[in-house]
Amino acid sequence: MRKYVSWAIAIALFAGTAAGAQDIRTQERVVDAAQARVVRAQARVDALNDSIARTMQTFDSLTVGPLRVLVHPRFRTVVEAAARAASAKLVADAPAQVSRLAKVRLVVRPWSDTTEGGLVFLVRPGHNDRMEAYIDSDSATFAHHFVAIGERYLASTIDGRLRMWAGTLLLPDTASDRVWVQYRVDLVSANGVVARNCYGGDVRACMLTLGLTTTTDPVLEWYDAADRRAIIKREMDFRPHGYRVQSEQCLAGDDASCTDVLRQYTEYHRTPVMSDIRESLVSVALQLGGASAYDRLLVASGTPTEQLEAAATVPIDSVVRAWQRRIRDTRTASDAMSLPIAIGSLFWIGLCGALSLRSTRWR
Amino acid sequence: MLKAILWSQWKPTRGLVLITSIIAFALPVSSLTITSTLRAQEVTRVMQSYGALYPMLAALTGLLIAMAAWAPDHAGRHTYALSLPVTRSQYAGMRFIAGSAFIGVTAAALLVGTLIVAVAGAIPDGLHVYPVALTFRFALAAMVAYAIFFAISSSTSQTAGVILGVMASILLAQFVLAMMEVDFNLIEKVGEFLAYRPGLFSVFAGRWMLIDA
Repeated sequence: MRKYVSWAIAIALFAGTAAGAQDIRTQERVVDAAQARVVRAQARVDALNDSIARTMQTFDSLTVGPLRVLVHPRFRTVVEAAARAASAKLVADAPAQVSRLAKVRLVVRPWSDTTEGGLVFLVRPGHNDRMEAYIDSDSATFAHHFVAIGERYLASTIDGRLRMWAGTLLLPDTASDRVWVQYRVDLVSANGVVARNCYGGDVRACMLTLGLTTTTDPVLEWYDAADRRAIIKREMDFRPHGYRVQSEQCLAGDDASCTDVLRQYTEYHRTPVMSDIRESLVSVALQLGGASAYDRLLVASGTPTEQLEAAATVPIDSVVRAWQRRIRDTRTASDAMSLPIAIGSLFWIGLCGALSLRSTRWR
Repeated sequence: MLKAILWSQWKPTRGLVLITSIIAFALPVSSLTITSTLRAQEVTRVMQSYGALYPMLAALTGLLIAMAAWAPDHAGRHTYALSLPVTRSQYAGMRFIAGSAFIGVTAAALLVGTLIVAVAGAIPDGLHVYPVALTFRFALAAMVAYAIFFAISSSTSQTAGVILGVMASILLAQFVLAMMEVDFNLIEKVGEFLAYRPGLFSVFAGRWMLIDA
């Protein structure tokens, strides 16, 4: 099969390149190059086949829950414990869908003959997901890699529309409070009034902000007159020669000019806030959906809204309201003061104070 | 007797306390006037910039009050202290307490300034004000600086020599390590110990945010 594919690629390369050749000599060079590529590709296929065969012969095979692991004997003990821990985590994340992992193999082999590093990678057709570990790594490190690779594999099966909307792989882990706080700052600092209204409690505004409701006119729907004027004022500093007359009319109070100019600045039409905030809505949907929410998300289809509703098992309005609460209420401890700072300072004050009392001499 | 020492120490210190208190009051209030028209992200950036000024003021306050605490004794060659029926440690302790009280005045001025920021209502949605936390940290930092400089001011020439000797030893040790091609940066380690928790100067390091998310 690989041979036929290799030949097909070679023929395609040959045909495509040769068509552009201007003379016989050029065509000869193209043919030679294509032949050389075919030879190199075949050598790689042979090497891979040989490598897989040798791997199967020399590696130990482990089956732990849904995980199938081929492991070099050097790593076996630590990897066995790691696979058990990783399996437990992956089963907890997606109890029903985790069985998909049985279709792929995790391979742990030495990095090379001369270094002590270990390499963990996932084998599946058309994909090679690899992470480095080291010979002295503990089982927790290997388990972390197994979970990360396993979660990425499972997440890659999520319906493409939701992944496109979120702009990232959607993993079951939730963001830290510090990340939520940053989302809040992003939201309240957005250029558009729609994001600020979303923070203020307007669910429809959140749907627009999060891209769950599409807009035909972002300039008017996302921004109010003050936003538009503020953006144009800022842009005039960076692009003093762009749309100068209209921009000046805008700053003089003509909102129609502001609208016209802002329509030209397409970077303001993409999203009212950074799109990574969308991941946090998925996180809330998963929390609302309970233990099997991620399972449902992995097999859901439809629009992003429909997939989130499927995961959360509640209407999207409820998901958005829960997300708003989380955005508003998440607090992190102030950096200004903490107990360790207080204790440390009191210790040093006491020590220096005691030293100053200790001397018996008058200077 | 503490009252008498408080009064005697107040006279050379009051000008410094007044200046540091005015600055401490003005810092948060001026940051508010700058940030009143900004969005949350920009406000946190401005606050980070202002955050560098608070530890500097704390260090300056501690330094000035500590030096002022011993200035009359140094000028009068300790005759006033020697005329009192107390041991040196008791005397130094009362001086220490008196100076600490003056730091409280500057910290109180900062607290008033930060509370004005808190009640002014000009903070963007989504952000919070930490007046008490910031003031408490300022007071601790000023006290640390005060305690260090108070100890140095009250020390003997021998003690100052020991401190200088330790510093010279570290430099010498680093030089020897470098000569022996040992890959170990002792000065960096000492600096890290002093600057990071639980180091002597760790209270000055990190973010000092009056307004934060």
